[in-house]
Amino acid sequence: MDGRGWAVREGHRLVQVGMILFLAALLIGLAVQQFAVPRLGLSTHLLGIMQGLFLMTIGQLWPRLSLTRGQSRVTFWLAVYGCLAPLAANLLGALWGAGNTLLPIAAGPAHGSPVQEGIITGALRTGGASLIAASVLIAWGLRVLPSEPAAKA
Amino acid sequence: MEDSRRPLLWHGMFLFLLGLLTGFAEMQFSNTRMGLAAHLEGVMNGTFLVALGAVWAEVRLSSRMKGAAYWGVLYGTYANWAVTTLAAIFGTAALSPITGAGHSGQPWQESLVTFGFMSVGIAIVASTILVLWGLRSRAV
Repeated sequence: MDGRGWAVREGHRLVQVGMILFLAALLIGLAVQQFAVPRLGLSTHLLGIMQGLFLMTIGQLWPRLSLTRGQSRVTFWLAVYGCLAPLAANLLGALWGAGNTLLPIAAGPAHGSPVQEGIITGALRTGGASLIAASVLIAWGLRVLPSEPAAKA
Repeated sequence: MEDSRRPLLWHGMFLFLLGLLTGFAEMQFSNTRMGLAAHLEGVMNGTFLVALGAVWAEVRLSSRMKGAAYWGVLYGTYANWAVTTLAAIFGTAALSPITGAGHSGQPWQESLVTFGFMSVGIAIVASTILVLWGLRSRAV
């Protein structure tokens, strides 16, 4: 394995996490009607499918990113957290019958306790910020062609 | 089954195209909201096939298992789009109480759509488990 074997391993981990997320979303889709807010259950199902696909896709291009090992690791965790946190927020909202502070369309009138709404809002905001940061770093890592020397990075 | 990577990519793009074309016909369906769902199913399942095609070489399974995953995932994705489109045409509500709210089809139509969605659920979950197994770090 060459000097960037860690990037291949991180990429494979992302593909694995993406497939697990995809499978979890499929299973959630089978239980949509069992949630306190079925419309939020449907949102969780769709979000998991899309986040799973996103992680599988970036896992494929991971070894092509011109990032240092440290930058790559930070981006990896930002991407994973950025996908998992909003999914967890939607899932908790669907289970608790809460979430209309930040998810007014999907949650409808479902409003939980201040603690529940705080957890959902916090997970959505931090997850969103993480995913944006990860996307910026991935775009930055794609600034040079793979064939060009990445030693400057 | 290693050479099935390109067919997966092709089917992914084809299903993506079917999803796009379904989007143009949304307003012609009995249930337009279900038509929108059919459009999204085509586009998202097509994207999934392309993503899966990209990692197909990393899926390490026996030839028979990989063949089962391949056909299962093709059935699960195409049938998902086709059954949702049928539900939009018939105006059925089976297994889609949110998207099909206020609609109902003939009993045989509801039965057909129910069978379709159930078979899709089984095929895609089973295929995903197989792919996940083939992606484990210690897979040979």
